[in-house]
Amino acid sequence: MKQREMEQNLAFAGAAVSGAMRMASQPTPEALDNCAAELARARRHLEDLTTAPAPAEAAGRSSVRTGLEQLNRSLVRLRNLLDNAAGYWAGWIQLRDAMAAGYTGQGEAAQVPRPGRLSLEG
Amino acid sequence: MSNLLTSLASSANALRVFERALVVSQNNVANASTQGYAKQRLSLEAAQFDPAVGLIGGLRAGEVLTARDQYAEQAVRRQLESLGYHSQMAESLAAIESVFDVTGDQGIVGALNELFTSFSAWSLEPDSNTARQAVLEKAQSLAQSFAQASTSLERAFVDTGRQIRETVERVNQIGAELREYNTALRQGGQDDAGLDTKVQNALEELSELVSFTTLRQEDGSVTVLLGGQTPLLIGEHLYSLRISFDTPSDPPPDYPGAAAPARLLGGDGQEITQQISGGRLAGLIDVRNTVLPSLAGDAYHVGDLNVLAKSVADRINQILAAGNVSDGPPPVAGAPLFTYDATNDARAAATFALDPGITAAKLAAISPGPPYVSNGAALQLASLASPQDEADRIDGFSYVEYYGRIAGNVGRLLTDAENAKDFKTQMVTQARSLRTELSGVSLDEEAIRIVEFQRAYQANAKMISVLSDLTEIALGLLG
Repeated sequence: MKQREMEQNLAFAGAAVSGAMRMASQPTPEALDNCAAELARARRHLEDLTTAPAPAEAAGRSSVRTGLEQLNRSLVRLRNLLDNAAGYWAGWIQLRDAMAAGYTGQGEAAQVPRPGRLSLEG
Repeated sequence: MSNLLTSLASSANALRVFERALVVSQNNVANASTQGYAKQRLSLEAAQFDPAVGLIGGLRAGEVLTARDQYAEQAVRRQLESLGYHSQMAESLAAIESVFDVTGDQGIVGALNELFTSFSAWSLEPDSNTARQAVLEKAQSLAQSFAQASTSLERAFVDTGRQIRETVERVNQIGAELREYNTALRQGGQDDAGLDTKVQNALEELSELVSFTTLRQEDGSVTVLLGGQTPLLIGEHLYSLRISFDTPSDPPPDYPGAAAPARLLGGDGQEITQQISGGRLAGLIDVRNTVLPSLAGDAYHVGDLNVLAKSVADRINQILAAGNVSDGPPPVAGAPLFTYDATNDARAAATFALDPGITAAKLAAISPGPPYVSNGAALQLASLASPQDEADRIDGFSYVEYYGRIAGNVGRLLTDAENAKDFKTQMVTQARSLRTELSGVSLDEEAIRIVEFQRAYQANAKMISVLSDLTEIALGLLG
């Protein structure tokens, strides 16, 4: 794979991760499903990149390296966004349980027993 | 007949309830674009039915429930606090960074390089008056560069102090607005959606400025605790925040007369600076009490720029004073090139100047030795550009490298603040989106949404791990 193609793959992967990040800013289950699809797209481009030989020239390697490091930073940011949303829901469930069932002897929010639920869609 | 009347009464009652529901719904539509407005809903309750005792059943209106969840509001405010802090840091650091030129052409580093070049030219022609004049000119340029940098940083101190005062004033103004809202809430305004919107907007604005927590009292009023501890507002009592720029006596200042740190005081006069960890005020305090003192010094810090100014002046003066202007007899010793206020190291850069007694003829080029070298002092000065001697370095760095580290640190802080600001902007968007997601959703619906969210979250988390591994592999392949 030529350097230009590698850079293109990297750019596509970066664009997919940016798109995923926008969706993670509004983390509804639907948006997160689309987010996963974007990430799958990024994965395909990155897999193409890892199977290609590294550019021979130092300048080419440096450019790809910079792109990959940028991508890594974006992934860390995306991870933090998702973790924050997950923490939000976890905190809310804990608070709601505490409001509904009080606290355990250890001072933790008591868990509210939840009946099983089956949802069928046709 | 009585059954018919009961039915009519029940229907009329239901109509009244639906009319109220319609009004609530209409209010929601009208306020769809109102910032800070939370959707309201009317809870409908089944009325007891027992015709034998005159209970006609049907429907009755419950209390108007605000869909706004305090938990969601708190999450938005927490992100706003963080955004406010990083935005302020980015703005303040951008102004400070402009003081430091790292290209090597201008400012202190440019002047240092030119001075070292003039020393080198002088060492080649130690008796040349032109070369000596050039040294004096470049030394003057360096003094001006230190003065300019000091003036700019002093201006940054003043500007930051003014911004802190303005922010504290605004915090107190918002506190006063909330006090009025508390009065209205206590007088029965708990179901007033407009009032609730005003309270939430005020709290959001406040969270951009300062870190705090709120408590909702049973009478509907809001208690605001700065830093989670110090009251700003309890009911209708406002405890105004204050700022002090006086040097405290304990601990005594290391550099008396230099700028004092900013100290935030609660309504009872106790210092609460450490409690404020978020919002623009925390950013301003960090810039005023940490970033600027680390560069320009204050009552408790000498400041890197002062360390540089003092080291450059001391070392150059030391070399010149150890040299001779002429062999004599008697030999004539050299004079110092620079002067600064030696009584206050934290003012070294601000007072750095060409020694008033220096002239081209008083520059000592001769190193009396042993061994005697006719241009030894000038050569030693020229070698300051690439020092070999530990005495010509600061913490192991040449003067130019030391300056580069100062500028580099400011640049790194700015980049970090800008990145954090970008990220926090996304976090605020996310927190607002999560608030909307929760608003007006029944607990049943919410439970389903949370399960769906968890499934989607896990899928994404797994994919991110795969992508991180792939980028690491790709980086490894690059060698």
